[in-house]
Amino acid sequence: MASIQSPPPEGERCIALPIAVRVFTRRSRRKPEWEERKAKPLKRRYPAEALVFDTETTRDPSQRLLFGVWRLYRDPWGSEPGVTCIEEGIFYPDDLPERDPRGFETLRRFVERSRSAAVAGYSRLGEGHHIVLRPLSWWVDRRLLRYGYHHADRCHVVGFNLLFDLARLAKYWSPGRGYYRGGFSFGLKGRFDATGNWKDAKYAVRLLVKAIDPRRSLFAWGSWSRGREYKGADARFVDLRALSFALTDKAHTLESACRAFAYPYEKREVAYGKISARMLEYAREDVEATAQLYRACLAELRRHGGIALDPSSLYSPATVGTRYLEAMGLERPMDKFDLHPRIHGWAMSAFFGGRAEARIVRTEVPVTHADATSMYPTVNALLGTWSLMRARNLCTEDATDRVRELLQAPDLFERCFEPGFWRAEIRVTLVEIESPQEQILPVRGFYDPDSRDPRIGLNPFSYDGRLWYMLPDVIASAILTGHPPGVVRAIRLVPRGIQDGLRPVRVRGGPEIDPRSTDPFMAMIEERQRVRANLDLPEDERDRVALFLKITANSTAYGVLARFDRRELARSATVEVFGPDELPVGAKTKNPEDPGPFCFPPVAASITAGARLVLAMLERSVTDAGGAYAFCDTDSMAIVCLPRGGSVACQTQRGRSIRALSAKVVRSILARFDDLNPYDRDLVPSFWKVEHDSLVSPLLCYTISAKRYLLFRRGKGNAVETLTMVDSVEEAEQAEEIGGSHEDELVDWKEHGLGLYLDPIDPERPRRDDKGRRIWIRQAWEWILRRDVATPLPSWARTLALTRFTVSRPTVERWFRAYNAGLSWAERIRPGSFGLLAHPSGYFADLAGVRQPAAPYESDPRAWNSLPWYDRRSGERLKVLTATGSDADELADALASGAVIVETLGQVVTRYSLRPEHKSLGFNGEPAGGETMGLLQRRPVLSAPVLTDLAGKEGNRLEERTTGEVTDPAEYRVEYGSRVNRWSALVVPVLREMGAAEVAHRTGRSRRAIERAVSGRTVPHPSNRARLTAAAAEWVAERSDEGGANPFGLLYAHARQSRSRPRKLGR
Amino acid sequence: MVEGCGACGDPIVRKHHPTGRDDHGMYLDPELIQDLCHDHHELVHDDLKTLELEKVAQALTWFERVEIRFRRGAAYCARLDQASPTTTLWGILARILERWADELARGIRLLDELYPDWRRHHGFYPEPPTGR
Repeated sequence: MASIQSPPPEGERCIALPIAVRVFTRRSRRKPEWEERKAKPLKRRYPAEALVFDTETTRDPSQRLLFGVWRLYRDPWGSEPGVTCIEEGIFYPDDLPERDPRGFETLRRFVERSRSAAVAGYSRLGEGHHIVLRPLSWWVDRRLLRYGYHHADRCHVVGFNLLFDLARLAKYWSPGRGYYRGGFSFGLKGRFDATGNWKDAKYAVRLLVKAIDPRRSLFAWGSWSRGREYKGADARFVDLRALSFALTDKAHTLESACRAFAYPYEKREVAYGKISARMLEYAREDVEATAQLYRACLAELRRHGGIALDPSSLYSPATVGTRYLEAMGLERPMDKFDLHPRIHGWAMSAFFGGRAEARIVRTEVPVTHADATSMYPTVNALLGTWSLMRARNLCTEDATDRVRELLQAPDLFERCFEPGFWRAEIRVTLVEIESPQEQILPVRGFYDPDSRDPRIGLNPFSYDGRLWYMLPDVIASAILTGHPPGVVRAIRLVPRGIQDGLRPVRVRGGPEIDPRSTDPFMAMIEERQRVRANLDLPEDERDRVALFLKITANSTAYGVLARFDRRELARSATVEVFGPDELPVGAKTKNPEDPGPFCFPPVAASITAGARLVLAMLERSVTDAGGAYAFCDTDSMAIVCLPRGGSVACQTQRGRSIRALSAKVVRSILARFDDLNPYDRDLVPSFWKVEHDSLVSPLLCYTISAKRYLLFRRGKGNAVETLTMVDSVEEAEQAEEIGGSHEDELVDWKEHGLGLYLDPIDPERPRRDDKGRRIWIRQAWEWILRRDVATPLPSWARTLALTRFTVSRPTVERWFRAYNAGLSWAERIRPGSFGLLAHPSGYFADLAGVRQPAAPYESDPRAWNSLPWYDRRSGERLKVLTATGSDADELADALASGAVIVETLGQVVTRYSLRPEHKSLGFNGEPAGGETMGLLQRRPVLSAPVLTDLAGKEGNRLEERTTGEVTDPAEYRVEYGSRVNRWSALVVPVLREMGAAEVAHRTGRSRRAIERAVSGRTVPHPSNRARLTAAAAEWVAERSDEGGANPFGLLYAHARQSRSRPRKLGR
Repeated sequence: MVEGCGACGDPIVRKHHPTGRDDHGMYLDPELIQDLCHDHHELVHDDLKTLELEKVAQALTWFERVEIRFRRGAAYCARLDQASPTTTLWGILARILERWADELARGIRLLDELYPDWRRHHGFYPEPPTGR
């Protein structure tokens, strides 16, 4: 441990920022057996069956079952499944004949006059070849349980969004336990006794469901009864929503998934919520489309010969990638290599997502948009990480002298353009640096004072201590600043031999890839280019294969290496936390993060660092040529460019214009990278792809903040022709951790930020333009581009800004406990149902305290204001209204009566356009705000071990966070405290300085309690510590000219300036 | 020459009675037998279970015994037809048998409507087997 290194010079403003570093955790005890449960292998001598079903529901808040349609398919094992339909039927709630006799009569008449879709010959006594009509209890017993449970080893239960459909069948539900904690346990067979308690029928199993996210769920059958563990096969539920996502890396509706698999399907227009012949036909068509999609997905899986792809357990492209690595015989790196966990801890502390930043904001500039070809597989190839992954063993090598030498080399920047430099010198190398001073390094900082989540920025970073970085980041810092940081030590991972058992695989039936001699990621990218160029293949097939290769290459090259799975346990587990320090610290958590099968932090951290080095090289090339860039985003950069160069209006520190590089200069800059292109030049001719022909005809770029930008061209009459609209929320860089590929992420996320709000005209069928973009978002962007607040927004601006959520967890279900109280189970809001969230308006959000309005789902925007709104936290009824159109008295009365003022879409769009780029300074050197325009500067960051949080994975539950469903960081991120105890290092000294009397006066605590706390005899309760910390920060703020900074930042700045009192604040 | 499964030609392990048994467990047509492999035997019996044609709970009239023969036979023919990549005679037979069954079922329904007591007459039922 060392003391403060260099107190700031007299008069320097010292703004210290708390930061976070990722850690690697290891459980102190072995995981319990139930956490390790694995599916039993399939018995293959039986026929293959598929029970395909879909449910239709009422439109009231309970969204209870109206009726369901099913088809049963049975085919000999080995033939194509889902071909021979042997039964088609409709099931209805048991009480339908009494509750809705007309609806039941409609059902009865419909089945009498409708021929079943079953193959000719499959008919029943007394019913012939008609559709079978049965009550729900019969269907659950004779179809779901018989085929889903008893035939679990041979029957797939198939649906689209199964969580929703299965929840319609449940008579009772309760929170899941064990592995399914955080999910639900559905009671399907049983009764409520006289006291209203649920009793499962004898030998009736529960169905366990747990949502990974609103799109994907895990399913299993529970035990027969308490204490008797079911020993049979696992449930084989195929949720086509998850499967189509895994195969295409895109979130689909049933219609879009069918289109993606070349089965054109368009839902017919029907009046939902009522049994009618049209509705019944609609439901039958839905089931038929589901069955076709199931066949198409299975046909797609069959193309991956020799790869164990079980459709019931594919949740993401990363799972597909994992299966390929397993098929290659690659052993799991964590098991194979005998590396000390502290190396993983150091690597994790050096792990950052992709670099995303805005440089020119709220100013239209002409740009050339350059995008790297498959950045992560390329970096993998450059660093030679495959030789590490396939090695028999790894050893660590001290590379300190070598790294110091190369960082000092005058030609370091030039050498970065040599592929040999990457493979021989950079490799997978961890570097510990000492007290960096204004080094441009990635920092996970709490830049946004209103957010509790850290963001990754690349800033001049000063740190009073040591930190680990991957070598590419250190080189990037050296080439951007001109002076390398002080290297304490460097550790390089060196492969030894090649492991046994590696075998060739064919990727989707294509050419053989031998992992012993070929880098599979490179081979996949090359094969992708080959497929794209192969005009003999049908266009559909060509696109599908190319897409698959891209997804798999990206997920295996990076996604699976950085995979950590967050668990939810009933009791805290003890974990060892390996961070940037030498020794681990102990911690207890209910949400331990277990590494995924092929997780390997040193390589994962190197890949993103390598991508940042590439961007740093491009940035340096552009700035050396006198140019500038508008934004960069993981693997792309928008370079300010005009065909013949020139000057572009843009506010900067020095003037009102910046220099646009000529197309010729930009072309030569990009061409310089071509030596780094590891692929066959015939297939991938250049390192950078210039998007939208923007070198010849530059695009216009308007950036709000990182990942919120619009690339467009102005058409006739100055109309905007939008090309790429990107406005991802903060976590896009973290989303890559779950295996998404960057390019698809843009497609997927491009309407996020605004796209998460329901369409103000028709939420069920949003109006879209010919390119599939939502009309209202286009109108919002057009309004933003006008930059004239006097121009009114379209009429939808007054509509409530609502997001949709799914009741996917017991915590969400509890939001409606007041609604559910007194209702029968059939009438309650059940798991899987949808709901609406309104968002308290900015200023009023504080007045509303913690009240968060939620309501059952309603698709008619005209009814949104009058829905039964509930406070998510207390379950109490509340009223919502908007500030727009209400006068002050009206608002005051409403607030006094407990109403919540919520945002309209107009407010959302305005706020969206004013989002500051927190991690930068404006051209004038002040922190960038909502109206900052022009060329931004990097924001200097000062931090220290005492301001460094040890944090777990940030990328959990991204979707729920974007919709506002999850707001508490404890629900998605594990924090393991700080590197150095802040209480004793920062707060206690200031409290001592203040004196017990002053502290007592400010906090209202007794002097004795304060004296005990200050003397170290007791550690106050966290709430008291928070109060004392706030008092200390307030006291310090009164004595300095800093305002609004983080309290710990203030205390640290105070401690740092007290030269006479050097304090141990960490190494 | 060793004959194979009637559906796929695999080695035979089961003898199958396509028209199955009556409510007394006696084969309706003992001499109607086809050799099947294990998988296809499982398959055709699973089909009968799904269609609730395998076990007969109540006593069947002569007419119903014929109807159930037709329906079981139709399901069996449909399965054999599935085993072939092209439409075969089995498929046509399945449709025809199903049609006969439907026509018979219509007649039985009419009898039920016009003469509700007809099922009480023991002449419509076969003699129960003796000596079992």
